[in-house]
Amino acid sequence: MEATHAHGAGHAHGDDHSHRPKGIMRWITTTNHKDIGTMYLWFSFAMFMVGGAMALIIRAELFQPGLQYVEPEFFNQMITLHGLIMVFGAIMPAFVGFANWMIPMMIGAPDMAFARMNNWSFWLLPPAGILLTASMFVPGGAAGTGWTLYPPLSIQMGIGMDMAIFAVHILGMSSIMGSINIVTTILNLRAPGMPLMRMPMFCWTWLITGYLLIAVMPVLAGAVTMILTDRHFGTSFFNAAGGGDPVLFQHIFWFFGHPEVYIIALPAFGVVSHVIPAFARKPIFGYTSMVYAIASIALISFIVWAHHMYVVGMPVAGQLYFMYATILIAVPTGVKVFNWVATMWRGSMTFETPMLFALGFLFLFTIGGFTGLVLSNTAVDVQLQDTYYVVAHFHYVMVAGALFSAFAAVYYWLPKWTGHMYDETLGQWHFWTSIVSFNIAFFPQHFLGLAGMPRRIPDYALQFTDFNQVSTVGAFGFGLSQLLFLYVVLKAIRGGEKAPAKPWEGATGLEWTLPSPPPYHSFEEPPVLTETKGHA
Amino acid sequence: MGERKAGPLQVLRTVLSGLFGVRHRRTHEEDAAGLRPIQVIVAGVVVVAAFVLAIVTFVHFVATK
Ligand code: HEM
Ligand SMILES: [Cu+2]
Repeated sequence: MEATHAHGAGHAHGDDHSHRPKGIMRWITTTNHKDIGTMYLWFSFAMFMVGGAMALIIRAELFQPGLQYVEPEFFNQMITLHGLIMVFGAIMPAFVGFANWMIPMMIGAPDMAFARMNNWSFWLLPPAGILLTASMFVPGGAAGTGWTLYPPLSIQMGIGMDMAIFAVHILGMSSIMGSINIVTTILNLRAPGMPLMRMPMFCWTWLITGYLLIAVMPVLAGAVTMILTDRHFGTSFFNAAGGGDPVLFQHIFWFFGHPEVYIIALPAFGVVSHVIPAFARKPIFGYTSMVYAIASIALISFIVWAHHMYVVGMPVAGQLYFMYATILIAVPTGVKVFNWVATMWRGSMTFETPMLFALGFLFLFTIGGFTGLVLSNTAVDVQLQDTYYVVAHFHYVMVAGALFSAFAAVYYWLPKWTGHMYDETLGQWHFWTSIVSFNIAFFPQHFLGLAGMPRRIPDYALQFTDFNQVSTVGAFGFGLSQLLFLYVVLKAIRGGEKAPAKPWEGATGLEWTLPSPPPYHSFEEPPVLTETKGHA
Repeated sequence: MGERKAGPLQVLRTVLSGLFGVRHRRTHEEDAAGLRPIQVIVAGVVVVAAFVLAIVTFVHFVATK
């Protein structure tokens, strides 16, 4: 493909001597980590908009008790697709996009290790996104099981369920290939003179996340395949009528599901571990302990899964085990928070948009961690399981945690990617409108859950009305704020103040030694590392 | 880099402080010099297995009448 393109006379654009096809074929055939990173990020944003629209349908219906806008069946489909699309379509691809863009530049590599497989990992995503969204329009509609796909519901639904299963298969393949690529790149393509214990923290978090993904995506794929064969090929893994056990699915799902929450959280930790030191103008506090703690969080995340299943009828000993283990895993996670705070201690801080989002992350993720701790207590969780308290918990960790960290990453690296500074005033507006509306939307959900409002229902008892109305107003505010984000990003792509190679005074690392925007091919020759360069 | 090999005790200490999340700079520098990744990984898996066993034992203790 590349050979068909004539060699442009006179290489006008510096070292940008790629023979790349023009127009749409450039994007379809590209093996360039920057192009692929860009596509991941735009795909993620598109899915964020689709999933966000679904969330607003959910919140509109919940503005008042009773049924106003949608049928209960359709409401359940929105719940399911919102969850699947946000987790697998928005958050995970966003961080793979950051990895593609930044890891080669951070470690001084020319590209990802498997450039062609990289193209394939990305191009698997759109079919999966289309399968999920299109499943709304097939007979019987989309899966209505919730993103957890529990049987027996998931062995009863229509073809929309099969589409969701195939989408999960495809997304899983994409994640596995992406992870193999990231792990191999980090292990093999680091510039000479960059030992593992000196590489940037974002690379460390992705290295460990890559292993987590390789370990658990096949488990999820196995679980949904077993649902598929239960549905169509006469097996009874989960079908009690045939001697199967629906609870077995929950065990398999959460053996994937709990590590999955760290797959989402760890790269977010990585981003914050770059942004906070940059704007506090101090190196990260306790780099090594951070690396070890992240590794141990990853290991322990495999031994706590049944804290999602306290009410399925486990023996008391099982409940106690999972309670103790879950409470203990919160220790290394909590220590991370102290690391970031200690990094800021006596730093000379400034509060540009990336830092604001990183601090927003720090505050709100901590709240989410605390509510997680509350839920890990079996006696408490028996009351709170499947209530809005759980919904509040995971939105604090996933939205105010992972998503805010993704925003921090975009603002932090946008000058590098585009060569232009973004509009700082509008960026700060985006932060403040987001954090205020986020809390209006989700803080009241703690109260709703404590008062007993169940999750995943389109209607509710009258006494829950007020907090639901507040929450809906906040959710629409949050949705609108994200249009501002789109505007700020587009504005920076189209122009703006020229960004220097290193727009942030306190930033460190190889990526800032490249011009902004970096050439299409960077670090074709490995950089020479000195004692201080190349450390997070 | 001097190829001093780290003993099992030092590996164990590293992994335990990793689980907790806090580390002295000085001990870290010793680690950086002497530890091989495979040692840490093996020790990590062993310690997590021991951790599970310890909790299970403890649970057994509190949950039997
Ligand atoms: C201190 C750390 C954490 C603890 C102790 C914790 C604990 C828990 C517990 C016990 C539940 C089950 C609640 C129930 O269903 O009754 C839960 C649910 C959940 N947590 Fe966490 N969590 C922590 C951090 C996180 C993080 C970092 C994420 C993601 C980034 C996350 C995402 C979720 C999700 C998505 C659910 C709900 C899943 C569902 O039922 O749909 N949690 N958490
Ligand atoms: Cu969990």
